[in-house]
Amino acid sequence: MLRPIVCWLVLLVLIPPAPAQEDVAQEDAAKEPDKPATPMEQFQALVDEHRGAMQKFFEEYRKVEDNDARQKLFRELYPKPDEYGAKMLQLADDYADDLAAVKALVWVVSNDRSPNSAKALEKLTTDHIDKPDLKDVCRALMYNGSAPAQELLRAALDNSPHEDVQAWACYSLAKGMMRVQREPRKKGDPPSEAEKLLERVVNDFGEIEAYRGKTLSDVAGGDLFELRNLSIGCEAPDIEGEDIDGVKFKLTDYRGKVVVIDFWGHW
Amino acid sequence: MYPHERSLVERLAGEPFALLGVNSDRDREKLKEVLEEEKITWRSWWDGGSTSGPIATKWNVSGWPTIYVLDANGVIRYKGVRGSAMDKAVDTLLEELGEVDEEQAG
Repeated sequence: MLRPIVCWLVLLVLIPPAPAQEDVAQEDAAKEPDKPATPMEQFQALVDEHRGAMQKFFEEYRKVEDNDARQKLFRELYPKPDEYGAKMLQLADDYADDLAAVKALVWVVSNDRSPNSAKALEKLTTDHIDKPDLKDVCRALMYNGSAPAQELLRAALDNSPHEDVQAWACYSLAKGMMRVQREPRKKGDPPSEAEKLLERVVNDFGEIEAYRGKTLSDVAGGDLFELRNLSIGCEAPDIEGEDIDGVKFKLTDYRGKVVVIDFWGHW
Repeated sequence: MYPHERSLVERLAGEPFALLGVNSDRDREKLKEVLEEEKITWRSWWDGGSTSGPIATKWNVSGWPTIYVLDANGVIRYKGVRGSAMDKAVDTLLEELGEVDEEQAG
């Protein structure tokens, strides 16, 4: 909470550098003169090239302290996601029936924020909805409100033969709807679509592991409670606890006042 | 830190308003020092020393900070508002309550 919430550099730093030894070995393997590289090898070569370029950028970046010089370095040396994305899309087109095509499209969705991403989502929807790889994609699309993302999620929920793909598609669809729900909720309102989807997650996919030792039943259950009791228009549940000095107090002690509840930490 | 919260609390002193925190810091004793240093005058529940405490868990909080604004009847009226949007929400609800001097609200 002490740092700015969005810092592009933090996003960059999250990409782990590959160990140098493995890169050299893979380069040698891909250079076999007689055999043309398989689609998977081509995909891997492109991933390695991108990773290598990232590493080089970071090495140079660490040597430079001046902010203007850093921005210049970024413009000149940072591997452009849309350029790699375009190559990945081409690979997916060239080898549409190969598993490498799925990997390439998933790479685009994960790494390229340009319009290439929408194209990749469309191709995954029309050509690869049956692949297990879609599980991570569905999970990652949770807050992607774009039409191609939402269409992929719906198609995955309706058509994937894999339970975990369906589970994450269902949950991601629900979370996306919760996020945009701004209309007040009244007692006696029929369940919203988000609520129905969350109930389906709990009933049909509850056992599937979600985050940090919790199942989808746990997390979707928390979201259902929030939808039903913590939406705009709901009377807030009471809070009972001790303040920092150990004195007990309740939220309802403050009826008659406008209250801001601020979940915070000094970390 | 926390200048926005401090100024809100100062501005609305004497109004039917309360800023209540749910705190997730691990060390309660260290937290008392933080309150003094940062001049945090508003009250907080100490939620057991983590972001997975009982209050944050019940309220399904996954992002920090998370803000709820309640009217004088305890009804949730705004969620996720920060900065000037939060000020506007509070002022709107105080107006509703009929006790804010419009000139002072600035």
